[in-house]
Amino acid sequence: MSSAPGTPLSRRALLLGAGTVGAAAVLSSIAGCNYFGSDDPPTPTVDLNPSALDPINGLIATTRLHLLRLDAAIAADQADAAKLQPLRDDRQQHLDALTAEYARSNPGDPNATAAATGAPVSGAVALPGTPQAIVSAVRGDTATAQVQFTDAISTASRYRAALYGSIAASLASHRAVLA
Amino acid sequence: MTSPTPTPTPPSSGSGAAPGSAGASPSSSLSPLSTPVSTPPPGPLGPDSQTAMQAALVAEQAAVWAYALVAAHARDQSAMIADARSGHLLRRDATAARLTAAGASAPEPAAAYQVAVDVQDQNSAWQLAQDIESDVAAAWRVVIGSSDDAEVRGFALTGLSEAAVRLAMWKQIAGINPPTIAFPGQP
Repeated sequence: MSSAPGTPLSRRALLLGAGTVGAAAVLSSIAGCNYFGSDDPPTPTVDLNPSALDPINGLIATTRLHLLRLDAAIAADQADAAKLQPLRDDRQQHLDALTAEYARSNPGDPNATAAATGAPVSGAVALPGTPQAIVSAVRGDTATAQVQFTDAISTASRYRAALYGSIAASLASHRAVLA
Repeated sequence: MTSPTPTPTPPSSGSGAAPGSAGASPSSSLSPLSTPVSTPPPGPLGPDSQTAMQAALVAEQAAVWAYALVAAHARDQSAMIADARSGHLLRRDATAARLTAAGASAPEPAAAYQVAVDVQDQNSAWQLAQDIESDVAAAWRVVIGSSDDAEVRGFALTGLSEAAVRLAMWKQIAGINPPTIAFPGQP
């Protein structure tokens, strides 16, 4: 549909040309908005501390929290303190083992040394008001932790899988004692 | 303090697992001793996990045998003994089936086993029961650490958890405080 030089453009040719340019403009504007339309490379967010991505951190955090809640439960429920204290001691050993494993596998992390020293867990947590509800809350924490450690076994290294398995089994026995 | 050791043909070290505990199936209830055992889908076993699982089977076989000895001297706990023995039977069969499905051999049970506890009364029977579960837990823990397969690990975790629960129950019956340990199966 091209015209010879010097030949006046017909109205149809003008409309067709305008449509083509318009379509190209629309496509170009769409491409400009497209996520992949830019030639500039995306700027990734790089975590320069790979140890922060270690999945064991979630297990350590859960254990720390549950230790706090066990401490609060023992303080608030004297009637069940004798039953809860051994469970609390087990959880402390779990925490110590987890932080030691974190320090072992992340030797370059300055926080690992401090964590592995077994720094005391401190903080305030809220618990229900009645002894029955407190034991129920502890039982719920135990079940939650057992699920987490069970799930973590699937993708962990062999050494960690055995460690997590022992902890999950220990938590299963805690639930039986609390039942 | 060891649990039954096979007298005739001691396969590799190991212990067995018990069925249906809360370990592998988080949604299960708190009655781990009555949960049925399901045989995991067949799949290949690596050399390490095959050896470890064979050892776990031997431990389960020994547990089944030794609980008869416990039952003779701890008659007040007959229901719990029956439950535990039944659990070990189920786990034994599931383990043998798992090995067979993987193309591995399943060791035959021995006619008798040597136990470390001289069972003469109820207290020594309780001690033997604890030894049984400790050895079974140790065997399943080895299985977990011998495989990269999530299914094998889950299967072993169930056995480890059930043994840990039974161990705690026996300790409670024997009046041992604390009844739980932080790392069941860990040497």
